[in-house]
Amino acid sequence: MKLELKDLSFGYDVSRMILRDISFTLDGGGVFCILGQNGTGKSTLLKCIVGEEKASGQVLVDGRDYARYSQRELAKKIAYLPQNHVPTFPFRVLDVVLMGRSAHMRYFASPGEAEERIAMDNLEFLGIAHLREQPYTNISGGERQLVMIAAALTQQPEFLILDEPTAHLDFGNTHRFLDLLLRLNESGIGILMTTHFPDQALYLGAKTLVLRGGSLWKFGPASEVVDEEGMSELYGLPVHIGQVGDRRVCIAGEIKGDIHGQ
Amino acid sequence: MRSRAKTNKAWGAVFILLPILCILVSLTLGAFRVSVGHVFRILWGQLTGSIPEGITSLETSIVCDVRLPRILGAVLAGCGLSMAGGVFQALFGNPLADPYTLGVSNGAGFGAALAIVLSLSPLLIQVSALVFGLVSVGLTFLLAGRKRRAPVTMILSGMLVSAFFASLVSLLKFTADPQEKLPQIVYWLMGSLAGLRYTRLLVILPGFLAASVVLFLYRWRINILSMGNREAKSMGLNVRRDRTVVILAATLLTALVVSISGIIGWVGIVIPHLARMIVGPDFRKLLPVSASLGTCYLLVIDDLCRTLTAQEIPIGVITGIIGIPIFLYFILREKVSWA
Repeated sequence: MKLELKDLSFGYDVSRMILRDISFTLDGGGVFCILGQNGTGKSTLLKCIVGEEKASGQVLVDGRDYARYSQRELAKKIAYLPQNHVPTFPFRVLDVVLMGRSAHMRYFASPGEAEERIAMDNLEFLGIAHLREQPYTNISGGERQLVMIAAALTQQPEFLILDEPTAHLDFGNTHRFLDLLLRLNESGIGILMTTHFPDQALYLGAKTLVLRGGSLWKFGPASEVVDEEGMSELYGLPVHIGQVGDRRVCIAGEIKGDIHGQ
Repeated sequence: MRSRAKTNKAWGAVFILLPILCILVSLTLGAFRVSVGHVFRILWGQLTGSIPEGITSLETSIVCDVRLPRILGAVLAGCGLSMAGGVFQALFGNPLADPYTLGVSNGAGFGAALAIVLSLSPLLIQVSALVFGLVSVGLTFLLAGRKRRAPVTMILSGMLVSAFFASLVSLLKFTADPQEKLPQIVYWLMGSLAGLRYTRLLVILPGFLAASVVLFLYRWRINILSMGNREAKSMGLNVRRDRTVVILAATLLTALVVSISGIIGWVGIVIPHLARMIVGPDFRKLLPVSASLGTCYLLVIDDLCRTLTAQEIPIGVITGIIGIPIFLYFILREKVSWA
């Protein structure tokens, strides 16, 4: 799937634009990360892409204007996971995952065995099949996020858009989640996510978009975009890139002694 | 899996049979007692057109002309308010949402009061209540404007419209003739199923059935809508359209019920909670179970209203007196937080 933005601008009022003239093209099934300070409009950009906010300019999905798709058609192309879903009702986990199938079902149909099979496959893929009968409200935040991913996968989209997906995950689960994203990408799903950690862009080998002051500041492979100079300037403090074994890591703050070894 | 399907079926049968049982028992109750056997034979006679032996025409008349229309009214009211209440709680993600959240009740109250002041017939009072009930919801939609997808905006607009019509009702009460009109208005506002006739039921039946069918068709989509607007949108729903259709159906259901019964509170809050405790939030089960429990609940309450004292008690009074302690019990047991 190809996602193109042309001169996208957005603001709640004209004097205070949040996003200005953003243009880029995301091709095929890559992994893309959006970096930027708090309040630069990362989440807003995602909302504009999925039509949650009405921006000026164009969003093209496979060359066709976003507005000319029905919501149902779009759901087969893009699944969007907002930050931290707060559940109201204790639905069964399996039912939540089944909801993701609705765009593929007849309008007034209820999910049946075929849908249940797809949902269970995805729960198993994510290693949470044992949660199927649990109430969605009684599982941990990390598990809940996996359930929402399972629902998104059951939607069988070509592109997954995630807003700070690791924001509420612990240290270990954050890393497991990044590996999961890589696995999903291998299976052919494009990923676009916002993150506060340049390190994640490096680890994912993502094409990286850097937002600064509401504009697209840099766009390129993480290995080029995430450098000491640029990141120090962006976040306004010393940022270091070092090598640990075969991995490049990015950490913030003053460092005494040599980290550029090996 | 197989055994669960079996228990599901057993429960399904319970929820179908329970309201039927309540209807039959209700037909026997009243100042003039009619045995269950006689009720059966009278109903059978009506269905087949034969005249059953050993049954007086007084009994037939009491069962068919006095009790049955009123009991059918209780069925429609209990079932309609409970289904609508469940819908509003799901769509507004709010435990305090009820069928009257968008201002139907006070709008209808104003319509009824106006018709009473103008000395119109019971049927026209009903029509006026229905029209103003729908007008008030229309105003709520207009007030909420383009932000109507946000539940808080809708709830606030509903409160304002509701309060506005409540003031108009007060104005009518203030100007109404205190000997004749005022008690009639007050009595209507307290809710009552007394004196219902088949014609008044038939007026609301087509709309009632249509709205119920819409809610039934949307039962799976209501689940998705209750997950939140962004989630529902990402899953491929046209949130604005689906929400509007479902809210309009639930509103119509409420307005139709209020037009025959007056304002019966607490059914639409308490019953959906109770049903959710029993079968969970999945609307495919919650909708029929709410309908079943609501029917039984209101039949029992109406039986109490009819039989407890020599003079009839308005039904809205009893649903409050019984419903509020039940609701409190849920809150204290933390069943209402849903979490």
